[in-house]
Amino acid sequence: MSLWRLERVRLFRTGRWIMLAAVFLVLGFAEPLLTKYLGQLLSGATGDGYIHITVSAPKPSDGMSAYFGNITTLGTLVTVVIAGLAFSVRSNPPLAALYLTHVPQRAALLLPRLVTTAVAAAIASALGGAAAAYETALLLGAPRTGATATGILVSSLGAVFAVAVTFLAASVLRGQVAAIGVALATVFVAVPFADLIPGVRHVGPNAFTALPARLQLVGWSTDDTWATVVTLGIAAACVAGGLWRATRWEI
Amino acid sequence: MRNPAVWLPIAVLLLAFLAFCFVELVRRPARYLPKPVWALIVLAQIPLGGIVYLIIGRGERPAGDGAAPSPGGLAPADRPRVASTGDAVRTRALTKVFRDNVGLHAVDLAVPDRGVYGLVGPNGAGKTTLLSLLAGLRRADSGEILTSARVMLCPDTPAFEPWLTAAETVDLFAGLGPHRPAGDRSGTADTAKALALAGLAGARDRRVGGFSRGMTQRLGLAVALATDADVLLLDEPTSALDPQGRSDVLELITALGRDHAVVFSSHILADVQRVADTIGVLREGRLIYQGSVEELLDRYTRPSWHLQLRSGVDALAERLGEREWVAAVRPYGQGQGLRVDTTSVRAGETLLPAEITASGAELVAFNPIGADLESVFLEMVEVPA
Repeated sequence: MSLWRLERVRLFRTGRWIMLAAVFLVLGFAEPLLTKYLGQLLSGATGDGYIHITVSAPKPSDGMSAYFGNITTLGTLVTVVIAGLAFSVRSNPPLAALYLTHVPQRAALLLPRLVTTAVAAAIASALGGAAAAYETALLLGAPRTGATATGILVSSLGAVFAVAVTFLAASVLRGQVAAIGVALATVFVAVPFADLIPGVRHVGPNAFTALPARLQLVGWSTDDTWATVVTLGIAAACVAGGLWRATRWEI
Repeated sequence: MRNPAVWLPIAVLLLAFLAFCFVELVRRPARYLPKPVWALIVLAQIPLGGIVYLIIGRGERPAGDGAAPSPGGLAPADRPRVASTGDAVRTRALTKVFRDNVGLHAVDLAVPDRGVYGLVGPNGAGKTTLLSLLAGLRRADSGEILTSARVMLCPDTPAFEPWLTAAETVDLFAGLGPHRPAGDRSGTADTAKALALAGLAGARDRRVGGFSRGMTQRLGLAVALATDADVLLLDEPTSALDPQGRSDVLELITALGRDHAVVFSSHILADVQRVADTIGVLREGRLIYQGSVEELLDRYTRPSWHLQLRSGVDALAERLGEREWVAAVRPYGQGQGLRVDTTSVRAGETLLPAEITASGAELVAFNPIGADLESVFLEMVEVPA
């Protein structure tokens, strides 16, 4: 059994693929449905009182935007947790000792974990996007093909970015909880706060994660290209940093 | 909403996910919370409750009744007396110091390329640190490790991926090095042989998550057998085994020592004395002895006798304490026994019986004590006050 096969087996036997698929597919199917019936749900919630809520008729872009908006939180949360569980090699020192005295280089142990998790997260994200597009087309009308396809691609790359950040956190920190906590804090706190730095707001990772929803309303701009380049560059730096840090590990 | 194409996919998805969660809940033990509570969480928060259960609440299935290790298929083996051609590992002034000056200090280790090297020392002497340095899992502060051998460490309580079977685990580690050519199918046979030797042939297709500690230690040895490492570092490999299991594993270590360098650390000195050809004694991070077990026993043991008396113990002890050929007199057993160390075997055999007679003590038994590693070890590692 190779380490690549080990990671595929890990994904299936631990049920992690089900967690990923469940979150992305449920959100993909549910968000356009909620968008379609949001007005009725809110009217029902207010009862026969004096409050009247008027919701404008939902458009196809609303269904897709709702999906993309939610996977940047819930989808990212589950992706980081699953990645953190896979990458925290040193959280189990006896197992880490066995692995590290068998593999010729530490990268040989870590790269299959990284690639398998990133590909699984990207596929789950793409499947969720396809489910959202299907449900939106049935309930709200066909979404714009180009914007939707680009949004699905960008959201998949966003999942890969979250995986890369978790990889770096797990290479620096020994415990699973610490690695997952720091990765979540980075993605949900540090990345949005980075927008306060002058010039970063439109070209940083936060702009990139908001891009799929925004593309439903406006076209692709030069800033979006920069945001993509910057985000993928940070992801690559996280991977390189994580691999370098792993060479310094002591068990 | 009446269109099934709208609600059917999400309904099927949620039902399938719920069904999976409940099947897992029934088949496996639950962690942290009772199963009914997990069932409520799964139902109350669809699908997040199920996801939380799968991540933190799902336990591993136990191995079951038939999971006891099968008897090891080892032929009785004598101690290996393999001619060593050189050293598999040497260290020069290896030093690794932690807080309060604890750690290893200038250790010059020489592990022969064949045979069993027993590493002994009290808790905190630096055995595990030394093994970690040899395995490349820690970096030394100074000094060097000279080896071109492939080194593998088996921790005292090895851990494995709980969702792999025993056969998959051995196959995984056996195939990790850069050695087995593509298309080589000998791995399956190696795996089966290694599991059989470790006494796990009957558990080869069971998942490791349900193994007992003893079975996990056996699996660690099966991994060591299947891998083609030249140097095997075994940290307390018998600490979780019952007497029969310990005996099997010691035979296995003896067999491994015929074509590997095996470094075997243990607190059980009788085990070390039984299997080790060479011994290293660590005390407070320093290697205070390195050489053959026989040489150690010859150098450090004094002739000793156990005396069992019916009466006159105190008078005899006082009388012996004044004789210059008596090295030490200590109470032995409960009340009516003495342990007498003499400066020579001849003095014990000729002068001691005469003193017993002269003291008027009533002798019940007079037995020479065999040289044992434990008494030597206790004497060597005793820290001066």
